[in-house]
Amino acid sequence: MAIKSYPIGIHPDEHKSFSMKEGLLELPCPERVIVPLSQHIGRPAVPVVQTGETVKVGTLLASAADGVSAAVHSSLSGKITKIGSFSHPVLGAAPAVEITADGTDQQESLITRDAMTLSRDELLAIIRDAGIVGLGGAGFPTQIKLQPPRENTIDAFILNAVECEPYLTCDHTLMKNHAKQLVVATELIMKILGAKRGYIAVEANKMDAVGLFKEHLIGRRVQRLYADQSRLSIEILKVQYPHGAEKQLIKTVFGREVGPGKLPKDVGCIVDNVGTAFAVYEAATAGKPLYERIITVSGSGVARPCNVKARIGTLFSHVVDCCGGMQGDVKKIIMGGPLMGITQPGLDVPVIKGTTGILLFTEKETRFFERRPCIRCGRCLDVCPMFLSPTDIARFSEANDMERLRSYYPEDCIECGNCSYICPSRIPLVQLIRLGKQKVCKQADMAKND
Amino acid sequence: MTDTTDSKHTGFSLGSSPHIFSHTDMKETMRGTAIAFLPVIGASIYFFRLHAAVLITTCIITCIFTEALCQLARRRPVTVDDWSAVVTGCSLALILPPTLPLSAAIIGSVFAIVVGKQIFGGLGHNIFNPSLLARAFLMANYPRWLTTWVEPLKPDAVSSATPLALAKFQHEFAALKDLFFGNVSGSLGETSAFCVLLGGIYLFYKKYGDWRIPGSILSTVFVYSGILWVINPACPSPIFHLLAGGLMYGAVFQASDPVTSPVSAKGKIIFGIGIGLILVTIRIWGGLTEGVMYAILFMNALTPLIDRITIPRRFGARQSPT
Repeated sequence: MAIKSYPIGIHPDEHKSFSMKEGLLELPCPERVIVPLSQHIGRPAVPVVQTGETVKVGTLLASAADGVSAAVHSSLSGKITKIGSFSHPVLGAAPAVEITADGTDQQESLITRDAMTLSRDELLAIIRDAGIVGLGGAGFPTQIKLQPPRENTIDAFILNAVECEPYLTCDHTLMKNHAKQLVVATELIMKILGAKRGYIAVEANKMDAVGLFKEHLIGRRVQRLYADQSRLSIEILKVQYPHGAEKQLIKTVFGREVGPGKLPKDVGCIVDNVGTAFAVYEAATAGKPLYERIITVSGSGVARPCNVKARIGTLFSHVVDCCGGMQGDVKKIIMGGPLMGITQPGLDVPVIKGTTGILLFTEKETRFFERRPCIRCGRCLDVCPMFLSPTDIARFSEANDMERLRSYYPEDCIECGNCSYICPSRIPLVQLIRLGKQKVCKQADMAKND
Repeated sequence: MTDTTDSKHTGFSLGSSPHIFSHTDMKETMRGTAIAFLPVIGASIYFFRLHAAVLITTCIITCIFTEALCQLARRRPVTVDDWSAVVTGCSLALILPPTLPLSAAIIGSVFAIVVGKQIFGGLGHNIFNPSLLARAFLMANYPRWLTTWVEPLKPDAVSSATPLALAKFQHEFAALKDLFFGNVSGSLGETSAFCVLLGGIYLFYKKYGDWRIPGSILSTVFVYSGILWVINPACPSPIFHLLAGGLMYGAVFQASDPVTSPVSAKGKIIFGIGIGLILVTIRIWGGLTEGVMYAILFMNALTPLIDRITIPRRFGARQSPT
């Protein structure tokens, strides 16, 4: 099978084998969870419960607000002890619901149904009610993504099984355990979108998952579930970062470029992460809301790196304790991957829907670098997947040269971090570009208000 | 926030992504470039003996000291440990004639660092390659010394003409084998194309330098001089052009200097083509026998312009113009 590849990218040390040694670990029930009302892009969910109420696993805690928003469910059976401000891994602090366990671990009743017989509208309602958002990290409410405006015809759906960030293996673990369900989920999403083509995009370092996908695809072909045999195919991508970035993935797999300020739907394509697809499967077949996910716990600062199934709202400290606790002198805590993850001030933050991993880095992974002058070697241009000139954007951003800054399009940057990764002078390029982006946006806003 | 299970672990470092970095840093790049000079240094010491060794040492030491003094005078941190002064020193010494008086070498080195680099604000800010600028300066001040060549392996013998001069004025062509291995007269580093290539392979294999610049220079020279050779076989052959003079050395070590060459891939190729065209034009029609130095300096001056016209295309802009 031909291996596809985007023309530009980097290949850092993968460090994926650490967390793949053991299978999937089910975490023991935590004593309490903190479920933030904002785990998605858009407006926070509106609480429908009150302090003192008892809830079961899967009880609706807060329903979606108007516009872009998503519902939030309980992940623990117990009593609501507080609704207020708690620390949040992305927002710093945000409103959340605290639940203290009663030890019974009662669940809201689940059902069994044949999801393939459900209509598009029924499926969308199920996805909305289950509070499903993009689990790759961005957290965009899925039912909104799957209902593009009528003028956008969707030709293709891509299941993002790339997982290009080093260290992270949560998607890989999910694929190894649930390849069959993911194939069904892909078909369900294609049905919702009316997409004629489906692609499962996997990086070449997960060939075992490719094998499983193939097996199930063949199985379903034998059962004559396809009208057209070429509808759903597997695409193998070279191991390269950022292959899983939406725009790069669409270009690599589908050959279309999502222009500046445009969304995938504008080129007739929708991309969803495997975690999201699995949540869609569980909601559609069993009516299970999104209250747990697989996360990778890795880095040299954790005693037993592995993948765990964690309830949303579980504190990082509980997750790490269940993985043998910290080891060595941990210098940095990261939620997400090493290239785009967010550092945390401590372990008292909750797992949210977009938590792909918890990385604990010790001294050897957090070297301090002295910034040196730019020698204009141009390596940042060679690795920028958006074909930008990071060194120039950073320079003009730092110098506040707004006119020239704008002419280099900082707003196109997807913040993958390749430029900062490669820079031999260790200039914080992506950080300066972020700053430049904000400056350009602020100026545009001011111009609008005038 | 409420309680922390691990209250003893506080003060974790915070910072925005990315959190991992490539292994190659600037210091290593510069050190690697210095290492790439070793085969050429070896060859020049073999061919020109003590002259070469003394000249190279003098240039390197003078460069390091001048850089440190400049930085102290500018009240900036002294960064001679980044190897860039060593690279400038090597780069300059190897384009000087073996018998150059040491006083001229010292003046050249000081000029390279002060005017070539520090005046612009230090490493990364200079427009012209410091060592080439210094050679141009020496050429203007000591034209006789800079054009006095001796034969290799007999360093005390009387002066002799370089292969390019012989070709240009007497239509005598040196044996390609001698050009390749270096048994010809010329600057320290330009004699052996083989050793330059050896250093170049190391440089580009380790990704310390960008092969696209020498690649486009050498192919432009080959094609352009090849066309001229086909039209008029009295012209030197393309192979002769590639091996003779400072072309190989200039292409590998000086044109590929990141600071003074364009940043984008397209820009680097345009830069290389420009050097190749100017070089062959000077060699065939110019008054000088060799044109590497002026070709590179001229394209150095055009670099900001090339950078401006080769901004990479905007992703997706073709399908959806904004």
